[in-house]
Amino acid sequence: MKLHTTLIVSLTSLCVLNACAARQQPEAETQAVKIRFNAAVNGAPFVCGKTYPGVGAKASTLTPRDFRFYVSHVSLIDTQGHKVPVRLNQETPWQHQNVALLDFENGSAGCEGNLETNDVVTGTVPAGQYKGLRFELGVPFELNHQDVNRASSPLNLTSLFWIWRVGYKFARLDFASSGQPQGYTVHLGSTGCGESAMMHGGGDSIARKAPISCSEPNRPDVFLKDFDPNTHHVTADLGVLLAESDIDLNQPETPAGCMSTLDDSDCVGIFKQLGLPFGKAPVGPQRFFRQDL
Amino acid sequence: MNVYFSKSLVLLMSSLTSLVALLACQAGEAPAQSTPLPSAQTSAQATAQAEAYIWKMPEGFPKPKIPADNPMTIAKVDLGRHLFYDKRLSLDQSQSCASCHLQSKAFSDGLRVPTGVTGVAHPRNSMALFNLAYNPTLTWNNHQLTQLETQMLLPLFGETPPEMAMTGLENELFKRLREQPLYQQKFKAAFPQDQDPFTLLRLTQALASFERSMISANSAYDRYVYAEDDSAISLSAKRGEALFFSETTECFHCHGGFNFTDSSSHTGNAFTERPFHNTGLYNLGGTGAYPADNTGLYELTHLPEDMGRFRAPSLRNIELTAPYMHDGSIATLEDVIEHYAAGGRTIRSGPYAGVGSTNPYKSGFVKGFKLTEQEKADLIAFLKSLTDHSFIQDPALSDPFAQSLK
Repeated sequence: MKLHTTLIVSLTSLCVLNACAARQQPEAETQAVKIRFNAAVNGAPFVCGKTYPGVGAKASTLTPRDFRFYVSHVSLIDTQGHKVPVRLNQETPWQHQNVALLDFENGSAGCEGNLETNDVVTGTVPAGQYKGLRFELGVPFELNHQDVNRASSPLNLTSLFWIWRVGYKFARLDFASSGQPQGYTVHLGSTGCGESAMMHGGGDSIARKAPISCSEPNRPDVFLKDFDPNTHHVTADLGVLLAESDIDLNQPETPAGCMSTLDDSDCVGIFKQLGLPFGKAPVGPQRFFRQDL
Repeated sequence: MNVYFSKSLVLLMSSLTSLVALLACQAGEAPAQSTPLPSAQTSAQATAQAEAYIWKMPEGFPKPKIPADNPMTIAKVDLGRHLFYDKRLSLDQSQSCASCHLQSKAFSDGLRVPTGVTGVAHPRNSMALFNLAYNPTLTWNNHQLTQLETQMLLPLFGETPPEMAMTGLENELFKRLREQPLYQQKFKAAFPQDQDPFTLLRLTQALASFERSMISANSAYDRYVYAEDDSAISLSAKRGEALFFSETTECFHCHGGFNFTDSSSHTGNAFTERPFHNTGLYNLGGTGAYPADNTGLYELTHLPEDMGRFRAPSLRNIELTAPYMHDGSIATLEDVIEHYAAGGRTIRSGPYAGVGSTNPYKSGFVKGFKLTEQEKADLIAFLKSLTDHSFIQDPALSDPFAQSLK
């Protein structure tokens, strides 16, 4: 498999010729990796301002409002089947430590949010051969319960804060449907979290306490086993996510759509497509993400 | 330790002030051309001003815990007060924090439930705001929101329900504030060390500082207890006090301590309790369930025993904060006492029908009691002795924009 190695190789050669002679332990050779994402609704490209017929169990019409999600723990799979973490570039506002934000809404034509969009995850891996992709949908536990007032990009967006759940919305997939013209929201995030999950910056502040785990972490594990970053895209398909949900209806006395609430039956079909457990429903494979040429 | 009251610090501050005064004098004796003070001196002066916040509370009243990363300063409290009363903080600039938190009602709003700027009603009653610096948790049923700086992001940026509805509009908010010379000056004064103080961190720190300055400790009952003024409360209130602290009513278990809530934390506590209680308000279908949009702590923990458990609010200023309970579903103090006397509320028909007194998750202290009419009147006289009239008239907590118009 051919990766984006040319630049790295030239840089490495340059390094060998010049300054690196002084270095005790030169870093292992790396290669750049760029993982491209698409957003779609039943195969059609996701575009703010478009309407999509035939979505969900009752073939409703969907009008987009938002399409953003975090991914983390991005790894490539080497030829021996080992997971090799991608070290994410830290110079971009879309990535912080091991988490990246993908953003397909442009803040116009009925979409909320902002003008900027992002459809790639960039980083480096040790030079080598790779044949698969694995990542989590969501913000890692270690970052999910931080003090959001001190968070840096891309974890400093108020529309992705989930204050009530003391964390982040891992995915914000909002739209209007024929039956829910006021809006149907899909917000994924951890629930059932222990006391004082939110940490604060202050040294001896009253709330500074290590976070306790969450009973429903809700971070789908995505494994695309034949993924080649040079030829494939990751497609996140909202139509597939909603395939088993009636998006014209909302369970009474719950927020419109699915906010990952355990007692909200509107989440059943969505969690199934994410490959997440929901109550007593059987867990299947995740289908929201797929690889496309 | 609370540094704001430490005598050594006060001494240090006065020495700093004298030093600054001395240096200023020397500068004044210098030749006529204006020499700006060296930066060390200006920052010492700024520090002296910044640290000069003095709590208003009687001797013996516990001192609150303040986050180490957000010490109280006069400049922050002042900025926070302006922000609290500023409608620029909401989507259509129609509501400020003060729209649902009125000083005249101890910063509650007198409504069953409030409605945000987009017209969506909140499922829960607006909480009164005072003595917040002592609260280990802040909302009716969330055990995880423990600090004002983060809790306030809910009314500002929360979506379910939207309140001030600024979700995703933080840049717009800071643009609005930046345009005001008043805020250019006040943000700079509050955070002199910042290149750009127009950030979420600084906004929330200033608002939290103002909210922590809302100390209510001057009720008739406080004068009775802390100032040992035996004539401060009536005989009826004294009889009510005895009932309140008795095993007959059991009120004090959940509403005890200096702040009349078992959910309190101050510099004298090593440990903090964060109790939430089911008081038998509902029992849908005999299952123990509460209405789906108001399940209490259960909503957060998913533990069955947390169904219907809500935070015991302080009973200070309770006379001013009707209607009562997490959902504002009891109109008067008299009816609240009837609810507890019955050991829970019975709703005979409709979607919420059920016998609250048999709710399986009900607190053991809500077991019902029998009081004479006189005793009920005494209990209410006691509760009304907890009203702090100076608090609701304190100019330092009032609307600064209304004042500037005068």
